[in-house]
Amino acid sequence: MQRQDVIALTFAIIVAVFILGTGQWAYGNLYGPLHNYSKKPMVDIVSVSATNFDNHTYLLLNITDVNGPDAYQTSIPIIVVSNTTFSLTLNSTQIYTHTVKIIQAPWNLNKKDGVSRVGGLELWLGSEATYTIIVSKLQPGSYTITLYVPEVPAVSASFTVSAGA
Amino acid sequence: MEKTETLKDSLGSYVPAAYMLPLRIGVGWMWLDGGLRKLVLAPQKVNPASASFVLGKFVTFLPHSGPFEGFLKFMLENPSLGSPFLIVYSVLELVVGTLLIIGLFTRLAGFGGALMAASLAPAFWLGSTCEDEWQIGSLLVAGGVVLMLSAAGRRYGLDSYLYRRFGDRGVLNTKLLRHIKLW
Repeated sequence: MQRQDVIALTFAIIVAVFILGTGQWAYGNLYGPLHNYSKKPMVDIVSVSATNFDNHTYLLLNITDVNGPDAYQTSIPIIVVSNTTFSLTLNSTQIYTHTVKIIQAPWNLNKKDGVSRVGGLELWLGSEATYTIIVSKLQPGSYTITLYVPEVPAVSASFTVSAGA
Repeated sequence: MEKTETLKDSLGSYVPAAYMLPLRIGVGWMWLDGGLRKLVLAPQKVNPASASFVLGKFVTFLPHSGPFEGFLKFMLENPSLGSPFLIVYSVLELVVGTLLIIGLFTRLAGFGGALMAASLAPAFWLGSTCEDEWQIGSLLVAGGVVLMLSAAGRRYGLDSYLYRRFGDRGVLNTKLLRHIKLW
């Protein structure tokens, strides 16, 4: 075997290991299971709390998007707040109208989460924000907030409204 | 008639070095384009105060960053620290791309390009990027390695002048490094 063959085979192995290794690592495209996190969004509710003030309830909703495309935002056009005896549905226009404050995570450098009349809450992949949404006053008790994201199952979290406020 | 520079394989067949020209142009332009876009055509991409700042995209890497999460958040919260790195990287893209296209120090440029492409590997899995990123990076690694191994700049490249004037030169005249040719 000539020297150039040794060199060629050595670098061919290096390139092959790099390609096969990173492909399996990132996508499972060598022996599976195939996975590609860029296809569908996955909204994660980091925390949710509620405070009654005057005749309104201030919902503090901290959310992030952990999967999905990186080129455009994930939308949450419908929010439902409910318990066994009560249900409140906000569509995208109402979400836009009732959102009074958005606190961006400090690492949301130039990908700012927002809200719009069409998309409702809008999140960039990896960014995180706390939305303050005002709704009519909720009675003390336990509630579930459900966020509806197109194409994927809704996500829910529980919170409590105390009698104190 | 001038003898054509060739790559001789173990079976004794010859591959004209000129056949490497399309690869040099292709791989070289990919790198040149990366630097051109960031430094010349849209310089706001390297401006940490701009909404177009490229490193802002790091945020999309966060969900799957594992042990790198703290580092990525630090860079995102201190964008001015990342700007010099981005500028240096973009300059390297311009240099590597230009060298490959004109065929000057082609082997060194191919080696540098392969390393730079391999350094992008974390973006394959840190971010939930589509498979395109992996395909682009992998091809740039393979292309860089081929250009490094072959004397691709000795035909239709400035390396041909260096080769005619100085012959085969190793990086250093040591047992190992003398086998790694400069052009």
